Amino acid sequence: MSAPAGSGPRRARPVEAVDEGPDAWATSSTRLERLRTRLAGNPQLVVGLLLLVGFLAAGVSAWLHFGGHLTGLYRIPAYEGVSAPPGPSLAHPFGVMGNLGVDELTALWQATPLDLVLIGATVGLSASMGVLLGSYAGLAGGAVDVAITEVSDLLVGVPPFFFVMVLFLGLERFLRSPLYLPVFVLLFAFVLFPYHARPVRARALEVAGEPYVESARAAGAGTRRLLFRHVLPNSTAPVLAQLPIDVYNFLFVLTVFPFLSCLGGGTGNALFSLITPLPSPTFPEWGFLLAQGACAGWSPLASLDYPWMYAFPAAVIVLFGLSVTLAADGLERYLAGRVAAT
Amino acid sequence: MSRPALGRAVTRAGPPWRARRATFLLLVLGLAALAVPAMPHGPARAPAPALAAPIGDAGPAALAGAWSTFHGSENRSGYTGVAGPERGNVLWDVAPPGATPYPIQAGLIVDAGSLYASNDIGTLFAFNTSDNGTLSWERGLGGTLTAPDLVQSEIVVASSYGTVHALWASNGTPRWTTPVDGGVPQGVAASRDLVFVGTSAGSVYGINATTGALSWRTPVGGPIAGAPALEGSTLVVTREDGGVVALTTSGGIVWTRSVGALVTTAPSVSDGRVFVVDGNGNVTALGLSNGSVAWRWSSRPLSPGDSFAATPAVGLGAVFVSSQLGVVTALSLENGSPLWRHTTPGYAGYPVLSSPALAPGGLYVASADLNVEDLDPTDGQLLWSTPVGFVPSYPAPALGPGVLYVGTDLGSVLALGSRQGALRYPVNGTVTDPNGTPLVGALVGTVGSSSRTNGSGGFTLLLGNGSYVVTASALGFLSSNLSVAVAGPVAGLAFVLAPVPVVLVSGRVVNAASGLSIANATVFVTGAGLTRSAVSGPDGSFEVAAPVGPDYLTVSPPRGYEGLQEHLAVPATGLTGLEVGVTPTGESPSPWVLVAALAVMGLALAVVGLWEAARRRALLGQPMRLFSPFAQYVAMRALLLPGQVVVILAILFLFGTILPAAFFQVDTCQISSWACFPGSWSDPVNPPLAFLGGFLAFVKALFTGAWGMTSYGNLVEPAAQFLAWWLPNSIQLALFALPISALVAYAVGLYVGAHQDRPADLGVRLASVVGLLTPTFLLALLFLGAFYDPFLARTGDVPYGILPSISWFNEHGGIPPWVGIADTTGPTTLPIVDGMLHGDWPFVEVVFLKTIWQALLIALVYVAIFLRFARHAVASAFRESHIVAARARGVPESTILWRHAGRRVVPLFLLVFGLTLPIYLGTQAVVEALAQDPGVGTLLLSQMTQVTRTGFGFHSVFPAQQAGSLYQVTIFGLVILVLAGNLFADILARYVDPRLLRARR
Repeated sequence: MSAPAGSGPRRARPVEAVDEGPDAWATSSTRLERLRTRLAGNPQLVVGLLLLVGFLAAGVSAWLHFGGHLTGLYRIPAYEGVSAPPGPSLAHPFGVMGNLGVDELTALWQATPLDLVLIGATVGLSASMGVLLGSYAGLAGGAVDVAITEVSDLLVGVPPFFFVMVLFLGLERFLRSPLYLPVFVLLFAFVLFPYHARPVRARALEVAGEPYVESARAAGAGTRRLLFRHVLPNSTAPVLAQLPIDVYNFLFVLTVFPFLSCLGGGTGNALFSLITPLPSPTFPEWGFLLAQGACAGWSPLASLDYPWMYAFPAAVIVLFGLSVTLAADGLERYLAGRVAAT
Repeated sequence: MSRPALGRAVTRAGPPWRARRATFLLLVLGLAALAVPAMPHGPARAPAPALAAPIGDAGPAALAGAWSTFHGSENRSGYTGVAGPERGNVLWDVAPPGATPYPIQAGLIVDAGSLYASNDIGTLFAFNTSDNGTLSWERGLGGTLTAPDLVQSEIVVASSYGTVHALWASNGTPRWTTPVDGGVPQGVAASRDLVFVGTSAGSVYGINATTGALSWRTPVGGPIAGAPALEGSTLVVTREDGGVVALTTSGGIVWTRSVGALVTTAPSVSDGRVFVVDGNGNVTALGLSNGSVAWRWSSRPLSPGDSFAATPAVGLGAVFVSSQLGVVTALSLENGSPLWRHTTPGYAGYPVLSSPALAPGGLYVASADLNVEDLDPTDGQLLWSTPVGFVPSYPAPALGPGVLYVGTDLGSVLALGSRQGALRYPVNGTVTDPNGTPLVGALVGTVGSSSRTNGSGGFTLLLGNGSYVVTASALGFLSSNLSVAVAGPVAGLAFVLAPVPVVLVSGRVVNAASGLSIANATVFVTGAGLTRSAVSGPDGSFEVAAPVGPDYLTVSPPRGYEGLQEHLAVPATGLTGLEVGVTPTGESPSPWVLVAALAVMGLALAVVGLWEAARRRALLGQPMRLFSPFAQYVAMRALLLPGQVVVILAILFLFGTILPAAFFQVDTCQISSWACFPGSWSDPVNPPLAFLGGFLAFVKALFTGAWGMTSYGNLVEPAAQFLAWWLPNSIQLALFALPISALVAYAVGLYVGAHQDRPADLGVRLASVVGLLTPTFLLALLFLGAFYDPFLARTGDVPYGILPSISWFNEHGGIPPWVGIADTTGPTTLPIVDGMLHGDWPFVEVVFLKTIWQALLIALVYVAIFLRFARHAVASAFRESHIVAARARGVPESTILWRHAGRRVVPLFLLVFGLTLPIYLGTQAVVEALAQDPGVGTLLLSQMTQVTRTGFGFHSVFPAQQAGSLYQVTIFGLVILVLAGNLFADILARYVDPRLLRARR
């Protein structure tokens, strides 16, 4: 009896009251319920978000545990340079990384906050640049559209991992090492933004032609209001498909050159170790740890004998990418569901 | 960890074998009897080693305590059984004869009262060690000489000119000279009757020690890095590419291994093991008998970025390595575990390159901080350290009984020992030019002491009682002698040096290939510290006033020719009619190919577009219109292309040329004469002008094919040449990888799109995420691991690494004779097709398997990315009305999938392909580099590493030293390729599905 009583007055309210805001007619409990039902039909979003929260917790706890000392690996002298270090055991659950002489679990944990910040900053910057420029280009059209589209088309023309290093190597000589990573992140965001801007622009073109935008324009809305109120929020969906690929691109740069360097063989390959934005060769970073792990043996095949050295960093990277993918795909579906509901 | 056994090797000491031949023979036979059972057995191909020990000269040298070859003994162990000096007092110091000091960079040898040293301009010296280092004889041989080697009573030495000389040790009279096929690095090895020589052309020679006649020659597949090491009847050589090859003394290859990194010095052989150090900071111990890896130790974790360029000393149960960063490490002989480390203070620019010398109780290192150090071999404690005041030369110091001999970069030789010299008095004086101006830095010396003059031209020598001839020399001046009798302190010794006489040298600069004159080449002549230059006239003639004596002639030719530097002996009468030939760099003769190709492409597109539009309109019965939407679209894209090209060029120039140039303070005139306006880097008044000028020069160089030189490994060739060589290989890979990727992506994408949110879709999505995020190289490794056994069964080895290249084929019966330079093939330049044309089926099989392996790897990575983009497009295609209608009509699901939807998604896939083309190209580049393919991707990535080292650009001045411009050219080519691919995909997609034209672009 209480439920109809509670809902009765709400239904009886005058129409103006609806416009007071959503809180007026949707109590928090029903919102939660709606959220719960939406999430129940969307397990990948739940799993993805839970995994991301887990990574975040690992990052924060590492920050607290290492007391801000996050830029140098803790090395165990007894294991430095050992050719056959011990594998996973109780003392070292992920084993020991021989060439660096570090406990692998500790190193991966220590690397978590920095990696989260670096990837988050790169992906966030490039996505927001892409959304802003892309939706503006789609809305404004004309010369602005042509300019933004052409620059995007052009930047998309070079493999991103390669392009960012071309830019970085050009600038590196003018930088001091504390600036390496911030500049690298900025450059990377610049290289990656067109991958967001292009699909966002295409979506914004469609959105700009929708009746509600027309009506808003007819009602005298300025460009800024049109952009931020109507076009931009409705053109962000394509960004989600690109996020995991950004993560891939970021980690690829940090892994591939150290690996090519330790592969040895061809003349000059040792110089590949110079192509890195990391300020020191003992910098805790997932991709770097993975490359070092895959270099454990002295020939590529020999390193297959030390699976823990590369399997655990690879697992962490893949798990992180998986959580981003799941969360992104789930969010996409969640948003699509919301749109369908309205 | 156990301490090394100190006494072990001392028992090998004995009397000099030349003096007591019978005792020696008995001793050797006894040792051989002991050694033979202990020696690891070689493979069946090697001759029985029973008589080998007496033949080898390695034993006697170590036995006698003589230091008769590079790094002491023929096995390069750097160990002598006789104790070295306990203190580092300077016993004597011999100043170089002649006016100009030339560095002694090769190892010294010492035996029976004589010390032999060779310097950088090809002079061999013999000093008498028992008489304070007086010069016994000197002999000019030319080239840069290796360390000498004493074989019985003759000195064998080889040169960078590719000659091997034998001289009588007693007086330096030449005995024989034999030419070999390339320069000889570091030193030679010798048994009693054969001399072994390794060359930069990748050959090892056996030469009769008595007559100089060639006994055998074996190609080993790469330039030799250092002196061969001889142990018993096994000869071990290292290649620069990291290869280690063991040969019998009759030239048969016993085994070949690779340590996987750049090697620049000789191996050490001792205790049945070969110790190789490499540029990646690794020490590798290989079994002497079969090349198996006993252990391997890396210095990188302890000192990142370190590398080794000095042969390790082996003895006393340990291996002693000295690194470029000045770290001396002792490793256990048994398992390579570190015993101790000693760090010498660094000295910028002068790394420890000297190979340490080892004696019981002392490890002697010429270190980076201008000291010679004696370390305790048991714990690395510093026993003594003597400053020698200038940079010690690169290779090993020589150890005689109780005396250490060190060569220096000033060409002098020092003897360090325990004995305190006799009472010495200061001898003071000055050096001035004829005008009375003091000469700073002049070298003043005599037997026993040498010094350089200070700021006011003064010097002090320390000399004992006796009479001396003191020599003063300075750059640009003739040296002068003064006699002085010392019985107490001497002061006021005044040298007045006359300037070096200058005579006229004239000649012509010509094209070495055609003999035509070359104008505007700058000719420099440098000698005695003076450099004079002239510019060649229109007929190529030049005239320059050059110092008399041994000079260097340097030619800096105009663009299109390679620079040149060579020795030039200028007589007092001058030189006329000199003809200097410079070789053309072979720059691309067809400069406008790129422009023409772009123009033709655009034109063809326009024609096809117009023709197709006309055809369609005629088909639909519509009136003709010149600019149909399709034609408009094509025209707009074609018009935008140049704009895109200009923007990408500006980005490349900014980041690729102008920023590095600014950092390295390169004069813009060096980037190009176009940029040589009043503004330059050193004159920051007008950088915009310099930028614009440089940019114009850059664009001009890019489009006229003046791409400069590029180096990869040992190849130094015009950039265009590299592209012409290696582009086909990349194309061949793409011809395999693209169809495989396309087929897999199409089939999987379509199937998954049709079954959205079903297990197949979820599985593929999960796999694609895992495939996407697992780095390419790790996939490559796992992939390789999976294919290891099949490959092993088919081809006997894994096609990982260089292929189709010398190294792989050398281990499998030799490279096919029809494969050309830099692994190029003819006539079609596609290796597989050429292999078929030549009927070389094993070659085809190996290359084919490897290419398929790479193509599958590319597909694995690329399809994962592709599907991520294409999934939504496919899903939307399945919601189209014609498919719904087909379903309603009851058309079978498989027909809908492959006929209806399959056709519909083709244009979508084309668009996605255009979008992901750069990712595909990047993936292929990495896969090429992983397999070290001779391909454009490998080149591009390796060029990137050079940029970090030297900066680069379109430099015309030092084309060979600078990383070439290939980097920018290739990126530019890549961008053009991607733009063209995008254009093609877009136009094709709109052709297949005209509805897309309705959307704006």
